[in-house]
Amino acid sequence: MRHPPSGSVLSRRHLLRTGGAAAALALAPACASSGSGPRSAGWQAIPPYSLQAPDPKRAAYLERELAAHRKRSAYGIQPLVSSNDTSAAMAKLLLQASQGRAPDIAQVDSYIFGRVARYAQPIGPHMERLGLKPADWFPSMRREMEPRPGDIRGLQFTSDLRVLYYRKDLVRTPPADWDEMTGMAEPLARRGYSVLYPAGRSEGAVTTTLWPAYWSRGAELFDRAGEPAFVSGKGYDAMLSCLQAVQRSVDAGVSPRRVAGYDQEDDENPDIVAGRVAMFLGGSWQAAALDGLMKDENFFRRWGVAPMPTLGGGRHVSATGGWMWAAFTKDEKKIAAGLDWVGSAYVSDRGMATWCSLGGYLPPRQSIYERDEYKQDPFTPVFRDHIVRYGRARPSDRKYQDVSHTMQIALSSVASGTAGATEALDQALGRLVG
Amino acid sequence: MATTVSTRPRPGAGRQRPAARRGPVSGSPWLWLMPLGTVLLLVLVYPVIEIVRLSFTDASLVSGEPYSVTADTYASLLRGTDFRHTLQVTFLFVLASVVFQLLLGLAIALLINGAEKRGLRGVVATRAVVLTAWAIPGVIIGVIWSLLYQETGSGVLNHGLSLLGFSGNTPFLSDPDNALVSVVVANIWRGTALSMILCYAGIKTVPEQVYEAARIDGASRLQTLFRVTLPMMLPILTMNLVLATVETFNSFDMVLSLTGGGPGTATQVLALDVYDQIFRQLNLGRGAAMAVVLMVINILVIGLYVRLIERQERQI
Repeated sequence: MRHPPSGSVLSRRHLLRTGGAAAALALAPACASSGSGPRSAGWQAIPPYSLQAPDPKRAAYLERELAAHRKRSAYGIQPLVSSNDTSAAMAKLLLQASQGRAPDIAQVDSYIFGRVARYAQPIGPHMERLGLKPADWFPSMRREMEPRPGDIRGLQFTSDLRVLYYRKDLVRTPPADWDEMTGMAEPLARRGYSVLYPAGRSEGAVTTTLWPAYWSRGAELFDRAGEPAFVSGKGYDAMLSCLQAVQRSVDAGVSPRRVAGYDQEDDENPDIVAGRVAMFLGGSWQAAALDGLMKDENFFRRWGVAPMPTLGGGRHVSATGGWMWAAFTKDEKKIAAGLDWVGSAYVSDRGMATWCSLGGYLPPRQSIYERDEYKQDPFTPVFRDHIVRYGRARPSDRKYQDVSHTMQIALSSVASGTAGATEALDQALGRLVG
Repeated sequence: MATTVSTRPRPGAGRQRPAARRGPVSGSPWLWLMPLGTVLLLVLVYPVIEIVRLSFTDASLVSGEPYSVTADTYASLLRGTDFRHTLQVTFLFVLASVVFQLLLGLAIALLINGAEKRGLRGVVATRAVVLTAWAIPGVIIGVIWSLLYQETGSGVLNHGLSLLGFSGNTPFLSDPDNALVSVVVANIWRGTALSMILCYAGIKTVPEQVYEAARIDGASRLQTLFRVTLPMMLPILTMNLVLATVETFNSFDMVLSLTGGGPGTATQVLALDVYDQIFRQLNLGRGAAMAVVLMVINILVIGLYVRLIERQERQI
């Protein structure tokens, strides 16, 4: 009796082998660490800081630098890109870092670095090799890089701060506090000029509009236990004063309600370019951007810069920000390779001067301001002075994201007229503490 | 004529075919279903179980941070006015969006069908233009509409209104009441395309003879629409309703780019709230609880659809 060929029937063993091989192939990529091989380091940046930067000058600069780096380094650099949505990108990075899957070298927003630092590797031993001195960084930024004295976990390579910009032809002396600003702007509002600030639901809005005013009253966002410090007492009064100041400026017609839709400081730019603004709270990077946008006039000649208005106190405060590089791999060779790359392109004397010139950022290293490669504008010395005198970083407490998000809603509610200051603050506290 | 039965044997009848080999693989359906079952288990069942499990904790997005098992996440949702407000906004958003998507989709489908019957030109182009809205990602739709809604004289809509003699400073997105209406309008624009395609397909399933019979019986156009077309399209309309409802409940990308849920919480829909809780506030437990509520709502809607379909089939 002739048996049919055995290859024409799938046996259970064949099927199980095929299935097992398919499953192994499917799961293999998940087991690999993020983006790097044995002789390359994965480097992750957000799109505007990566080879995919929409600004062709930035992209070209990074391509040139990477090509030069690859020629001189035995280790490769594997570019990885995260999301333009920085909140989601940082949330993902935090998750990856906590699971040990973060890229070898990654860009971290300075305000969240406090939570990420415990997963980042110490990079202090590499500073000397890279020719960097920690004392060169502005003290407030150095404190962010070092969760504990001497234990450097991040390299801040850009910074920014918030200031009050005012039209010199409309405002003779810039106001020192919010009430003075609103009073000064009322007659200007009747002539069609407004005061702008971001009051939307975004980190930029609270960083620019709320925190500096709140801190100017000498209040802290968190107590020693890491709980919100504005639930009652001095902190509550200070936060209420901030929201009331915003409410007064909107009710007086000095600021349009559409500031409730301004998520970023850059959202103010169209109004500023159109000549409808007398004063605005904005970021240090806006000066160069606006000068580029205003074809027919010189922004620096028409506008002046002053410290952020206070809330009745004499103590000006400005919130600083910026980005850091942090290493997450435990492989020392990869750390060295990654830091060599970001060091040369973003952190070294020439690298930081060039990158900050391209992006309009403020260098967090003091010596860079003396370098010829760093292109300064007329306001840069003022910004540098403000960083030293008024600069303050956001706290890295565990509940910061909760507090920020909740107060964004409160700020937006007050600016849009959805709720009064007291109601908005009480609702925010109800969300935070129950 | 008498039929004859052929007595000739059929070709191959004398040669018996060997009995089909019933091996362990070909005989059992379960082994064939195993790959699909594994995929469904991994991408559907396991994530749902994990989300339900996380909803009973106060976990944060950061692995390794300690968390406890608690039902307080649900209790805080029920206690707080925030969640009630979010649900209220979501239901208003869904109700208005779905009603108008269905009505507009049906209207456009009827117009296109009528134009086709009359042999008018441009029918295919019209369909393509309407479908374009469906092809555009939600985030881009949010960006497009935010440019249209811009609240200065340079905004497209405000400029148009000023030309018509109205104020050119309508606060489309910064006024809380206007913001919800603006978001609904953008969502209707987005969802009408799919509704139109489904209604058009439904209209095409109605046999021409039924229309002819209605004409012979002297039915007017309106009577034909309400007594013939719509009843025969009912399964398609029901499916359209369910799809539009579920999709609108789950939609957040357009709202995120258009208003971010603001001003205040005026346009804070449930799906966006889930995103905010997990990715902005890093509250995985609370976000998971909200996600479970959203899932339950969607299951109820789909369950209602299944019951309706079963009832229709029983009636048939």
